[in-house]
Amino acid sequence: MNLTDLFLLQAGILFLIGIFGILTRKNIFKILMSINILQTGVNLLIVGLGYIPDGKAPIITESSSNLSLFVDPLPQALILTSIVIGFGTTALGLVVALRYHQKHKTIDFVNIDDEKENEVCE
Amino acid sequence: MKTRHQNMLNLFVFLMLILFSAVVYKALFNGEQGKNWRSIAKSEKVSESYIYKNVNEQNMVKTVQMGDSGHEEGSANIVTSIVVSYRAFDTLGEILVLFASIAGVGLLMGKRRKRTVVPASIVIQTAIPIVSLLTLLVGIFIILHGHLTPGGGFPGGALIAGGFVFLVLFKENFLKKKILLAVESLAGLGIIGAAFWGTLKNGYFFFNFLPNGNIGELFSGGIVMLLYLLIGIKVASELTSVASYMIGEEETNS
Repeated sequence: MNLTDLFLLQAGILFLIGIFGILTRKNIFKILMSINILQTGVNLLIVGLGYIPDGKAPIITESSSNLSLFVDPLPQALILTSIVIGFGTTALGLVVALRYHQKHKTIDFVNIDDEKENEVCE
Repeated sequence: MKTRHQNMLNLFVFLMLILFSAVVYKALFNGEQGKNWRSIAKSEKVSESYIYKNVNEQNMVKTVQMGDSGHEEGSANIVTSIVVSYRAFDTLGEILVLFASIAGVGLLMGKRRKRTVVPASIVIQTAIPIVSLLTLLVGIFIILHGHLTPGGGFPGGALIAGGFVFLVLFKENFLKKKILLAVESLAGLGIIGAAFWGTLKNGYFFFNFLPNGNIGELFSGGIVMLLYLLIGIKVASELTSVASYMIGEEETNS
């Protein structure tokens, strides 16, 4: 097992944890956390696929004489965009969760039919 | 609010994920005709045109060293050269997405009740000026060295925003949201203005109109440093404003 396999394994585990959380939890906050974990897994997958054996960070320094050892810089540049957009969506999702809590007095997803029945019963 | 069949749901999703991971594993490691992701050649995998700073020409001259000048692009950090120079239009879209999400946060956060203010303890009052000063210094360093070392406008802006969040926790109403909004708008206009200035100079959006310099020096890379400075200011003000929205000390009418 070389290092890229390890990256892929970790990425897969994070991805599965994220999907498991999204599908089974009812708490909106936990769902947002699961989305973030899933996103970390995808980022790690894409960056890990750009790794080559004995790769160096793609920065030209005085000690870097052999540029053919550099890992692929393009996925890292794309993942930078992905991380920032993930921050934006998380912030927006947290605010939407806050408004949801103000309206429904709970952070869980509620079944709207159940809620209507309860109102009728009351 | 408990679901009746929570355990059944967990078990079902768990089995489904095992099936899913088996499918993905087979595709990655036992592909058809012995081909998998390991059989990709290194020359097909690594985008060497960016590393050797030679995207336009067919025959690459594979000599790039510290202190060189005269290449297409002059920043030592190749990821930065992709993000801010080769794919600057991409970064402009990213900034617009970040701006849209922060605008949405401000829109939805409009009405909040004023929280009960607890005065900061003596530990916080003593430590926060020192800690926030150091945080701001590290942030400015990372932004200004974005083309030489790992980092750049986005992580440096996040660090500066962290320093300002410390100050907001230390003193209520330390920053007015209107000032943050003005700084952010000016930085955004500066990015667009730099892009259009390149258009006026040479006819390309985000054209590099500053001299490239030698690779590895502080003033090198042309437009990269200017753009990362503006991006850092914009990201710092945006993150500070979203944090102060979340802390929520200003809006009172609910």
